[in-house]
Amino acid sequence: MLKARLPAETPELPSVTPVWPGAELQEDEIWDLYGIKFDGHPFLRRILMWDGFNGHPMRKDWKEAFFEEEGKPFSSRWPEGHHAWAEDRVPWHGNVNYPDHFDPETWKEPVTFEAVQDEPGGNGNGRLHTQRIVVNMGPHHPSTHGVFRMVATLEGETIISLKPVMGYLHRNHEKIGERNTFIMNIPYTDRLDYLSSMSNNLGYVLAVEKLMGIKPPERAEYIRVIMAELTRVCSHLWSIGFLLNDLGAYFTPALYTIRERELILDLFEEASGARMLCNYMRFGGVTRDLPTGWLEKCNTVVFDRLPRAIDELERYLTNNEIILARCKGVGYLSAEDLVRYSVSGPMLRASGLQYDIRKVEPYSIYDRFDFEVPKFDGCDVYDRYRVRMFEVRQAVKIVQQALKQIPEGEIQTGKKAYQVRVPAGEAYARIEAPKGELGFYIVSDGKPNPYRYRVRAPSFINLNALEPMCIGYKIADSVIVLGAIDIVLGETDR
Amino acid sequence: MSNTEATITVEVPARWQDAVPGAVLSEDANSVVVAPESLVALCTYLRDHEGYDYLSNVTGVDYLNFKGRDASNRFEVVYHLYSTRGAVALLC
Repeated sequence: MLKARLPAETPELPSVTPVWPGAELQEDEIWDLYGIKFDGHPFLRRILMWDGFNGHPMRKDWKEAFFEEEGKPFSSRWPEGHHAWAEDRVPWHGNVNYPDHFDPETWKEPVTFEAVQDEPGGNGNGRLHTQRIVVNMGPHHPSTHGVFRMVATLEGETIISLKPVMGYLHRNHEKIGERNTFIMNIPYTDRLDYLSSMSNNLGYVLAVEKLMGIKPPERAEYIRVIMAELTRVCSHLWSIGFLLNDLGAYFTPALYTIRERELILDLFEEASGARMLCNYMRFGGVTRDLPTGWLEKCNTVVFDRLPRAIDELERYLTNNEIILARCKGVGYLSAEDLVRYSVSGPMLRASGLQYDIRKVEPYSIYDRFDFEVPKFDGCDVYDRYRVRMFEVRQAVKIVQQALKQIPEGEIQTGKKAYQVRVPAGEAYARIEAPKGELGFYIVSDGKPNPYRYRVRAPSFINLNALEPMCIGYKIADSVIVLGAIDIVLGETDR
Repeated sequence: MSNTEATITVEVPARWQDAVPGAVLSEDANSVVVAPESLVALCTYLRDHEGYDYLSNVTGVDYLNFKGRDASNRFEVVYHLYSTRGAVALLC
């Protein structure tokens, strides 16, 4: 861990993008939320907020419009029996306050473009007189899996450049997380990558447990692994189904995968009470034990149902002519470049690099299970699909082993508490979430609220590689390249 | 700083100092404090010679009115480096 300390007045730092181009989006984010300038950054812009937003919201002295108190739990809104109106607290009253030198009339967004421009050379391919056209995809476009925007410059149909624009779903998760108590953040992590809430829970509780210096009991460890791997199955199946949607096979293959996911969501519902936003893990354990009969149901799904379902999917999809034609060789980016762009997860493993945090830095009890890390080296959309398929099989294999080994016993270390004591210090924990490396960086000052709560969101950072993966391909390919990155906007925008 | 298992005092190898003189300002719990002007040089060295090829996380922290901090070091930018050829996190 490297740290650079900067003064309060005009904080500036040289950008590390020449060393690791993958720092681009994260440095944008720091500029946006903290107001720290990066010299030498290729395109420093407000990435999550818009330019008309006054201030840098992650600074501790920035207060939101309805600010009540520094940390929860808030005191009563009925002091001495009288209701205090939240509106009376709005510091801005009019609620519209632009930064200096900002005029909404003349403002142009940072990703600006001329809709049509003459190509500098004047003729494309040496034969035709061409013009460059800018095509804007999104924010409301079914291919973007949410509110995400791609601004692509085209020559003919070929992509010359492509800029991702995001932040439409931004709610400043990290600021709200600093206001919450430690335990209040567990359900809040569900809302990051809402398709894999169990993994998000796991990453967060591991980071806080690192600080607290506690470990969950055996049974809870096994339950966590089972839940995290079932989540991986869900997330990958969903991603495969929607990749097929992007390819034009509208919802028929997706429903085959969603059908299997439903069975797993049933299991989640029975154990945690919720299908998607599970809020299941706790510091030092899980919130409650598995209900009677759960393990038998899980056995049926994992031993009988899923392996056959995966076989069926593979039979229909893996050698499908249309998939081969559309996915093979598309979105190529070599392993070296992927590492430089800080890409993680299935995309990295589809480039021949067997980098899986469960293997290289085993957390929880992953060192006890026998599973393989896929090795495909096509670096293209097709291999990203195959890696996901492979990982679904391996995840099922891990759950099968865990179900055989799971012991009886306690599910919580110590007593359950509404308020936990987290000693001062800082910790970074990372897990191999379905989308890639999910990290939580927590700074505690010993108070009930985290001083800093940072989410290293794989969906956000993997987008660094979107432009280099799209350049030179057709505009129609950008849709499946994005689909194969597998982003969830709840996590991208936070 | 507390004495949890997450806290390990870092010792920077002397060759770092030789490679990029003056880059390492201090060795803190879990981390290395770097002089801003030598940041890029040190990062290049770490990537090319120490195997830290993967920049996992970059983030900021605002230590306003924090114990032991003043206006001269209010902000902090944190870099988490790893190697894809092994699990090595940066000295911790």
